[in-house]
Amino acid sequence: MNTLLTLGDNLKTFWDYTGMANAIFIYLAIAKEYEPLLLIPIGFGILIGNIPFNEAAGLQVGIYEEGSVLNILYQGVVQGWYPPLIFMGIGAMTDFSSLIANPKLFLIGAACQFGIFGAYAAALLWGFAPNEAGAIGIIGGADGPTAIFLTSKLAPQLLGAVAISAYSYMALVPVIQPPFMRWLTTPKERMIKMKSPRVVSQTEKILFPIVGLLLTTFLVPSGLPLLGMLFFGNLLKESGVTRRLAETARGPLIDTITILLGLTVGASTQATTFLRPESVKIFVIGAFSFVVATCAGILFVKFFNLFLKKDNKINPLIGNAGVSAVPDAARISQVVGLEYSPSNYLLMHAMGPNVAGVIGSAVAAGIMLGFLY
Amino acid sequence: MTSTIETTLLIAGIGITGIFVFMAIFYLLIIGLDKLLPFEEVKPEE
Repeated sequence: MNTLLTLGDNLKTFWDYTGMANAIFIYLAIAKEYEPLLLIPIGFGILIGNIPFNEAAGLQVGIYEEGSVLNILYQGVVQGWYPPLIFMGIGAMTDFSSLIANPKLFLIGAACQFGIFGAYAAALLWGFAPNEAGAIGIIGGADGPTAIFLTSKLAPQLLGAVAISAYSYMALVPVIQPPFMRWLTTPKERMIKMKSPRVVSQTEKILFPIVGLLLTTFLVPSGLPLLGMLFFGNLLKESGVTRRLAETARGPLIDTITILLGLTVGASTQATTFLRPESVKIFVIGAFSFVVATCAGILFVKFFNLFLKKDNKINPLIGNAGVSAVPDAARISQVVGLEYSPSNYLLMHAMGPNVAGVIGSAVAAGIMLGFLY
Repeated sequence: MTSTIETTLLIAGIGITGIFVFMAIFYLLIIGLDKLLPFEEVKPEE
């Protein structure tokens, strides 16, 4: 009888801690294929991190118990070295050709960062402390590693809510963006055919990460952990002589870090700290930031087009792609563009603002860090 | 409250301006790079 009671108590504690949020994430990942590479580790991590056990027994298994395996793995999140490693992998898998060929697309990646600062302002006005508002604002960058990096520095107590919110909205980009893309553009604008991008030489591709690194060093040194690694990974890819290193960075390494990051972020999230009114507010502000970022990108393209020659206009349907969320946001530009003109392929053009968005959100994180850390 | 709004606007203003400046300089550097090292198609030897 006693055993049954203890079992019942443990199950109740488990329910109190997890709220079965893990089941929702695992369901969304498997049944709906929403960001499965992250939601499954996070969902399972919530399970691992919340199994009730007797701390007095000294088993050293809890994520917050110094020296436990989970605690050691969690240091990559707490001290912020998982996100830069992921950025190295992203750099090693990203082709910046579309951006180099048409560098004015850089500015779309900048415009979409209005989402970050809009969310930051909204969070401050909703009563969050400045450092917490900075961490919440970065959700608008639509970049999971950047969000985790900044939150681990500014407001570690919000890590679970911010990470889950960021990844959830990134998965929901195909649902959130299209209505605003249609609402803010005219049928004529959606039909704009952009010029084919020029060919980019290998020398330019090699110089791009070096120039980017120097620029970051001089202008936003606080963004170096992320951008430095992004450009380093890209140089591994483009140099042509470090193929093995590039393949490791964009393959086994990024996969390993993704597993550890998801699992430990999940394990560090308990219902007692996650299922709170603040988390609901964070989710609301997160949705707001994605909408602002999308609208800002599209409106910026429309504004920019006023100054461009007729044969050099940009299709505003690629404005949404500046929110990062690579490559989903660019794919949406392509899908929505094809609805209105079956021969208008926007994917290669949308990849420009998409990768510019990655750079832009990391710069924004660096600026936030400079002000609020 | 007013000071919160002022601080918010200041950081947001500096932040977004900073990103635009960064991207604009990057844009100009890429344009310069293209001018310095224009793409030349390698013609196969006859």
